Amino acid sequence: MARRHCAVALGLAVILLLGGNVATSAPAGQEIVIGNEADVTVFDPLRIQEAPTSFVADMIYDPLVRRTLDGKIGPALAERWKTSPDRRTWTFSLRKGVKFHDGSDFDASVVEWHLKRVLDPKEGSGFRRQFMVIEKITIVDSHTIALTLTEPNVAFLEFVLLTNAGYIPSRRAYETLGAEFPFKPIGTGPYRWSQWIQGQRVVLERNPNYWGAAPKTDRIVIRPVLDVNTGVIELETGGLHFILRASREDLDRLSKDSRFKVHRVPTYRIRFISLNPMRPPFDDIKVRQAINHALNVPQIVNALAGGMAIPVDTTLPVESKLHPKQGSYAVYAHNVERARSLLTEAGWRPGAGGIRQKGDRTLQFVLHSPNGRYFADKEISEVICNRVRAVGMECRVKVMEWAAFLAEVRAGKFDAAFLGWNQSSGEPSLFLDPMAATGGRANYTSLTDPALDQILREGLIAFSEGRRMLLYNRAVDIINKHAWYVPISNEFKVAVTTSRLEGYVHSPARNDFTTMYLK
Amino acid sequence: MWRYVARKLLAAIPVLLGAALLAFMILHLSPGDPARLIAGENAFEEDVENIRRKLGLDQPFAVQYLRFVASSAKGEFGRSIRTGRLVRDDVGARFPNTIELAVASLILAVILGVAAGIVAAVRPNTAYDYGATFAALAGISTPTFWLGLLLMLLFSYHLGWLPASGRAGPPWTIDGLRSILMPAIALGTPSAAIIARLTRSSLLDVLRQDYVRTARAKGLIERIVIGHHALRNALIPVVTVVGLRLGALLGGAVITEQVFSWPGIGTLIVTAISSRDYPMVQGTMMIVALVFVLVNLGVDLLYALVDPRIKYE
Amino acid sequence: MSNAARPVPLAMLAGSTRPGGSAFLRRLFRRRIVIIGVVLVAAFFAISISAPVLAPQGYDEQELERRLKPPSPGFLLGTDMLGRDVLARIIWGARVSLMVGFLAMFLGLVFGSVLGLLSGMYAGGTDRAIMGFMDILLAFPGILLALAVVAALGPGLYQVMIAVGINQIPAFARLVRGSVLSVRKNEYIEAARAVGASDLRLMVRHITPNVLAPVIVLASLDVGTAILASAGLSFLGLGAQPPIPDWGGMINQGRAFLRTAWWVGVFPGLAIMLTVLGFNLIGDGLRDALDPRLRQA
Repeated sequence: MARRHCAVALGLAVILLLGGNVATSAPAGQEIVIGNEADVTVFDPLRIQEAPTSFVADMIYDPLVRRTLDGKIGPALAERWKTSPDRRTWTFSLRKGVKFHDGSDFDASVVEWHLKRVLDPKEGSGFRRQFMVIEKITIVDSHTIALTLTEPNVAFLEFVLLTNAGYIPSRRAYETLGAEFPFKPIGTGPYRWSQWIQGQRVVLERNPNYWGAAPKTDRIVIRPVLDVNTGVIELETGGLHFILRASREDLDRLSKDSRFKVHRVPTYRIRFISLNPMRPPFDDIKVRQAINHALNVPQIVNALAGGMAIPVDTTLPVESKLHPKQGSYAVYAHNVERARSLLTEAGWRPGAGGIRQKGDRTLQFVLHSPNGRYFADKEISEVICNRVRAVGMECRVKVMEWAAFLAEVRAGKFDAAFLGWNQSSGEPSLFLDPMAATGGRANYTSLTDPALDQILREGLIAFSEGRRMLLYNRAVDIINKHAWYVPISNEFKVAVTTSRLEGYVHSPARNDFTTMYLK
Repeated sequence: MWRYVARKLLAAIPVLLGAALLAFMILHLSPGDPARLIAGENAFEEDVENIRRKLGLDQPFAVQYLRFVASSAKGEFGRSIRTGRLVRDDVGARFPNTIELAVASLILAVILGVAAGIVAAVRPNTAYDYGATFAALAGISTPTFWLGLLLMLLFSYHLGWLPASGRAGPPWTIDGLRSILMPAIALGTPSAAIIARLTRSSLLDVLRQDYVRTARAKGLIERIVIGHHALRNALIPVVTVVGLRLGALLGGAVITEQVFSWPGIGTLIVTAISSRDYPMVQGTMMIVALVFVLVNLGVDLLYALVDPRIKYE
Repeated sequence: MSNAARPVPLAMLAGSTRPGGSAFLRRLFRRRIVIIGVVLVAAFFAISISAPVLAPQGYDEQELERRLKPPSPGFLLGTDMLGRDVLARIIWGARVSLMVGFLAMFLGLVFGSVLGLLSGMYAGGTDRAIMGFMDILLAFPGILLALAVVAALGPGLYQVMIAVGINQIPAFARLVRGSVLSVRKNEYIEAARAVGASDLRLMVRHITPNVLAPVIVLASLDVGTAILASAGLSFLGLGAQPPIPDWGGMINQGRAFLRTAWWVGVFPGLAIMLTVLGFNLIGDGLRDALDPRLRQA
């Protein structure tokens, strides 16, 4: 019996292997068309800020290290790296024999040139401040480079080398292309730049000299499709093979359709309502706790964004390796009665029309919301405002254009705001430090707690994973106890492809388009 | 005539500068910091400060505006904050597509509109007339974006005849023609309706003129009367309106371009406004205004060509 | 806005004489499609006034359990993505659309007429300055100016009204200026001047009544234009603040569901079309009735 099972399994394995081998020989001249949400802009790694551009840049350039599909950090242009005993010096052994698309050689001097360029204040890179943790760059030999930091930092790779400015471009291209350099990217990646017709398409061609496994598709075409809805129609009518977004209704529909494959996985994108403790009514912790209890976040998120996001109860991505276990930190379960009694305790008594009052003040707030920046942002805000009325709060949504929203929210001029924070990895310091540490760059509401600051600082220099786990568990617990936020959702990374597209592996951590091909 | 053209062009200069200044003022009054938008919400404030300095956004408004005017005088129209490219280059890459779409939609509109107008005018106050009038007014009353969505649903999704979005190539290729058809219909419908109304009233007017009566009295067949004598004169005001529509469509296809992801200046300028790309908005506005003025001038001259009674001094 | 269209060069109406009451009305209503227009506009007015009675529910009665339900006896036009009754929102939305349309038109009318009057009365510097500014406004494609204005003021109903209203100013200004210029040439104005009538008195007594007819035509067509233009802004996500139901915004939200719940986006579009059609039918009829050259037609 057991032997027969073994034989069957062996047979299956052989078939799979053969199938795999057969399929790798993709037909010549193959082309995959991907829908991007906007046109690309600038490819100078110092200036790549927009997702549609970094999506394309990632196929052209390589960084020193890359995230692996399972979310760890693996080699790329650096084959190995090690840290010194004092944890301040990181030494990278660079891959040998790598050539840029223009034929120039990749070596330590290019890396040094690039890092110095990021650090040069005259270049005006938006990543300079992050790179400034690099105190000294030492070329050990032609393929070894050592970076000395101003202070130890466990998250150095995530914080610096995994940003867009971590992509290494060709120095020769910079020196010969001049003003065209940002628009003719030359890297070492699996695909090379071929053609760009503004607003219409970018065409990338397979790099025949790629140092890694050869990409299976000859050409990748990236088309800007501005509207989500149009992208879905294009996929269904064959204009696109691959789209990155769809409404939840379309996802449900497409996932039942054998002509398409729907991939989704939670990624490092957190959505939350920030409650401003510097302003009434959320200057009172009881009111902040009350609104947390008043909202049935799982119901709202599942109804409006199910399949595109999952509800959360912390501001740390669920896929983060260091996300604390359920039950080990404070949470606010949906409990309207509890919300009401908290408000009563805080002195807010039901008044005319069910809206609570304290003296001559009414319990009201404005919820700032972007429109279309995050998945279903405006709709979720509408529901929240509608729901808090049940506990006696008056709420008005203020939808703003992104530019104006950012200006007002960053200045802390809001009662409550629908916000998001995206990073390229689940490293907790990339989320909790900016959002909750005193003076953090995403801490728009002057949140401050010295005990929390202490924990977060220790998190950056504690090199043992167990210790870090414990520290970030405590940090999450403290943040939740303050009720500075109403955690809303963790967005998914989505890809819908035609079912003819094989070999694509969907990962929260990176895009790898080298293994996919059309059947 | 050339003196007339020269005078008109000179008169356009203050209009263009005014248009750029108005765009500049409105945008600078808008909340939002282009440097922050470029750097992203994740960036540190000191980096944003650095970008601001590099782009000259820390300079006084007057300096920024004068720099832009100087650059426009060189024909560059400033440098985009967001992409770092010359506005001239970005607009140059996209404006031909907008012109292509506007012209295609006007061709459709003229064919449909003139035909409907003739039908209505030949049999005034009959069911034909009312039907054509009603259809035309319905055409003007339909939101183009809604029409565009419905067309897309029908012709792309359900029937699979036409691509849903984008520009597949120049319109003389099959793919290009297929990709321009739907946006041209959506954009051209209101114009078709306007042209139909105008053709009707203009033709009715002409048909009452003496020379038409004479032609009829001479016993010429109705078709020849209308086709040969009346239509030529009736279409003179239509030419004007087509010209004016062209001017309006060149900058006014914003929503249609957005719905169909058409790579024209409409989509370019929407992004520029939302990213507070001041030079890009000013430059595009100036170029659009310039083309608007040129098209209107062209219409004036064309008018003189069809109607010998008009002479420009 | 590509829809921001005026069917016929209105300048040709400038200077047409004042219509004589009942004969004018007879001419107006002789065309039956004008009656359709009046019925449509009256119907939408009635709907917007009686919304509290007529609407099956309020415009923000959310119920996530019943989201995106197709039309049924309970919800005649189905429900939207927050489980709200689409019919109720369209009915309440009529108020919003009519208000935006009328107020934007009034803004254009008032400012445009004043500027046009001034420009027509005072030739020279004043005239050149005003008309120069109008040329600048006209050189901007309407939707782009509106987009920029909304960027400066932020999304919202009143902001949209202002943005759309500004777009309507030049048309009124040019029309009124043209009328004033042609009336000024008439002898009775010269006579009034000769007996020492002040400028203000001239405007009020003699010129205003004469420019009234073409202005009314333009205004009636303009309401439709303004409704379409504001719907376009709402469609781009710059319209009324939630939960206020505005038709353009409803189409915008509905486009994500066109293939799964078409009713969310299709019905508001129909509502816009019918309302604007009503105004255009009336405007078209008014123009025909006022245009002396077309009277025999």
